[in-house]
Amino acid sequence: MSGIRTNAAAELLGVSPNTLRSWERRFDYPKPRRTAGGHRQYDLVQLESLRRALLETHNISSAIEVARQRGEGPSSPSRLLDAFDQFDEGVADRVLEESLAVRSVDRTVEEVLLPAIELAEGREGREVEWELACRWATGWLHAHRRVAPPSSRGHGVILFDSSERLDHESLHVQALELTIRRAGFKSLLLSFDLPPERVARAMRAVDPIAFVFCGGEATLEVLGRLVYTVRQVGSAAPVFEYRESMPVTGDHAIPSLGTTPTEAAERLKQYLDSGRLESGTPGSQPLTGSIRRSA
Amino acid sequence: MATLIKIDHSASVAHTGTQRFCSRCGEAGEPPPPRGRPLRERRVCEACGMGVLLSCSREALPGMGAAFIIATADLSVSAVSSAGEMLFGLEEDLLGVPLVSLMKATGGKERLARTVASAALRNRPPTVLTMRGLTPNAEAAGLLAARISTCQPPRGALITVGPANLTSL
Repeated sequence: MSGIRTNAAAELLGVSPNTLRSWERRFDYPKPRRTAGGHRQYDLVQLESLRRALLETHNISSAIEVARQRGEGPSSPSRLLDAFDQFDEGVADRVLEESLAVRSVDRTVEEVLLPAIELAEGREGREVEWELACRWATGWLHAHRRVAPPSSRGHGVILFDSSERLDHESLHVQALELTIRRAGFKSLLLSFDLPPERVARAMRAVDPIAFVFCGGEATLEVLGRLVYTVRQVGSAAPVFEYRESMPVTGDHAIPSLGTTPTEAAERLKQYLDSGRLESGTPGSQPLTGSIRRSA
Repeated sequence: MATLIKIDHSASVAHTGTQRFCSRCGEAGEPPPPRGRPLRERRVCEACGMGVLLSCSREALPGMGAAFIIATADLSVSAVSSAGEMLFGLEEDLLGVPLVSLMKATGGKERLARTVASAALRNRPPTVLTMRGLTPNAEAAGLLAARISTCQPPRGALITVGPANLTSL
């Protein structure tokens, strides 16, 4: 086991030696060995694990709990973030390949890829790393979309994407489409602002069992136009929203598919099987109500 | 596809007005490093050593000694400040607990849930709701104001709680 002294360990974590010793007293972690002379000798693997966990949590005790449970771990959002920060796409590939050895594609997307993108977003002076992360993630999602098994359910879902740029929300939309495909649905991802007459042709071709508004930048005007077109074509398929996409506050009439791709796919399947949606997570939208403009 | 060739740098631009703060004591952290200077940012608060440094918009900065809670998009508590512990209980007991079991907005529980979930999912300007605490100490404090905004990384909703009669929380 490789070990380093207190000052170096504190430097690695960006804390003072006193803080490190206080964590040892309170949490018994990171736990150093003692040299023959009684000096603390910290395990590098523990320190690196804790450094990464600190990036993923909002408080010290959770970070220590994550580090303790995970150890070096097979793959984590912060390891993927490190790869982006080193501009090393090979390492990024490896992190997700390792994740796929222990997680499904869907869980890899939700537990590693999307959280890493979220960590990469909005950091001062890291715009280039952020762009690399977005482009790399897009490529990864598209590669897996291409090899998704053919539709087993025969039902189509049309997703209207209102995200305007390649960003965290746009990647969530792409992840949603991948998960929906992998759940056996046919999917068609369209821009939110397409002229309704063009969308009508796609609706006739796909004959969707559901429409999903996603991307976070929807406007009530365009939503109204699209819903009108949907009904004009004669489709009675329900309209859902994903990840609080609608520009409304308070109760409204558009049921939510939740905030994660697997939750959305599960709720779609549930809807198809039972003809109704059960209440979602505490953060999900209610299923009934009236549309109100946001303040 | 047009959406794939545009990159959103607005998040970074928006962060020029951000300030770091400790998730435990609320102490404002050092300003973010100058643009284009890639250095490893300090993650742990130097003042208390028990909180991580997060960013929020300047108008949402809780301030040293403020009572606040950080919640995730599924509305579970992910951090509580030292002052927040006096209202809601010890952090170790609150981590993972549903936020709606600690407070309710006077405008209805749905409103609080939706505002918090929205702030935890994407950058939202601060919203102030009047609320009542559901724990004994918070209940005794009477009507409170909760300012709900976004903090990160990782993204969460920052809920700063104070007396309802104060206009500037």
